[in-house]
Amino acid sequence: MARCCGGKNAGKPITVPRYLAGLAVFATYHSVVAVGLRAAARVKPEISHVRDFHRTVFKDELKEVIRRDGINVGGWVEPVQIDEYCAIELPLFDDEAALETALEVAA
Amino acid sequence: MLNSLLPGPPLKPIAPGSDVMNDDAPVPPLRPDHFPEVKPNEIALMFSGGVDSTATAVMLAEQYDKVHLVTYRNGYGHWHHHRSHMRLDELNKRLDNKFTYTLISTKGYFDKVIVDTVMADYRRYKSGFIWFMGCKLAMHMRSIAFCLEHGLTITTDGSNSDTAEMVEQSLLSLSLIRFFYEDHTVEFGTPVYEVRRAASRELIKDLGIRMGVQVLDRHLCIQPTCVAGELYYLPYLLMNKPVNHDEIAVSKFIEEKEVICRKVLGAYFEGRGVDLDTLLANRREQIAALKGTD
Repeated sequence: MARCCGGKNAGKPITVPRYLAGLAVFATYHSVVAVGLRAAARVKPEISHVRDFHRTVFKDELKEVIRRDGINVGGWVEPVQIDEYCAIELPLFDDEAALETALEVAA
Repeated sequence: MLNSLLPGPPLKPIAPGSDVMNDDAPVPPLRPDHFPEVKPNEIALMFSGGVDSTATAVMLAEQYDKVHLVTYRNGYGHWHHHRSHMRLDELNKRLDNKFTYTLISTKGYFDKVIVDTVMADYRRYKSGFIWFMGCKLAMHMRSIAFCLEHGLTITTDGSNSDTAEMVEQSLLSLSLIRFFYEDHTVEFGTPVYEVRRAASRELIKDLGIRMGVQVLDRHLCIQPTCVAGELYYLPYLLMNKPVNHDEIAVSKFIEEKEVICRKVLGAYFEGRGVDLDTLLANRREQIAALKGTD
């Protein structure tokens, strides 16, 4: 399962309280960093594109988290399974030709 | 414990223009007419001080005369590097002083690889993975330079399948990076990739090395903090949200940024007064001669 697409725990069901707590931590941590970057960019204008990058990623990810894209929220007490989470095994590519072939197939 | 929570001493280069931030291990001189001798019994390790890289260090110490631990600092919310140095002292006390330690700033390379163009790259790749993959490529590029300067033929890191959700530890990324190293006469290995975390923990505990504060599967306060990494993987860790790494996009990104890395590497050695192609040709001869005597 360690090689599962999106991470070994991706899509595993969680409870509503865990989702809400996760959303709170996510939004708070990002907001603190956003404020810090905004202040820093005033002193060092050369990092303004880092500030803009963070702001854009935060905005995009927050939308996904609120829409619950890929997040499997179950019940209030039990994380009831709703969707099957994926389990795709990927090979380790030992030579360049094998890797290129795999990429062509994937494309 | 308190030391690992404090921010650590301020860091500055050992010499003007240098990217090396500590003077524990000497930087070997380079001359256009005299290249470093290849040392098959020494190895480099990209070292954070975390569970996986510490377990790798312990394993490598059994097989090599000297292990060069190299820690990188990208300059953007990447703090507490003194934790890695504290790890070095613990390892040397227990394993016969086999380790040297070098802390290197990759900020300048990181800027060129991704930071300077981060918004344009984000519009193209549509995922925050570009920050981490760009950071890691800059580190790998500098690792190649480190190996060439020190005459090393193998470098390793603590990548592990248990954390393969991290873009830089995915099999695809590691495979592509391995080819990048090979082009520069360096082998890249991930000795603990299939070792379970529980086994690594036992190995470290048996030596009496600090484990930090364990929260779920993570060990805090034993390695540098990366704020960007914490932010990006939060939805995965807290809410099991899949990470957004499209494999085709990752491979395209690495291919594109490798071109920049090659240029930066050439410029690095030019700055040290050495032609990279000549240095590589000399190493190929030395490595072939070593293989011939085996």
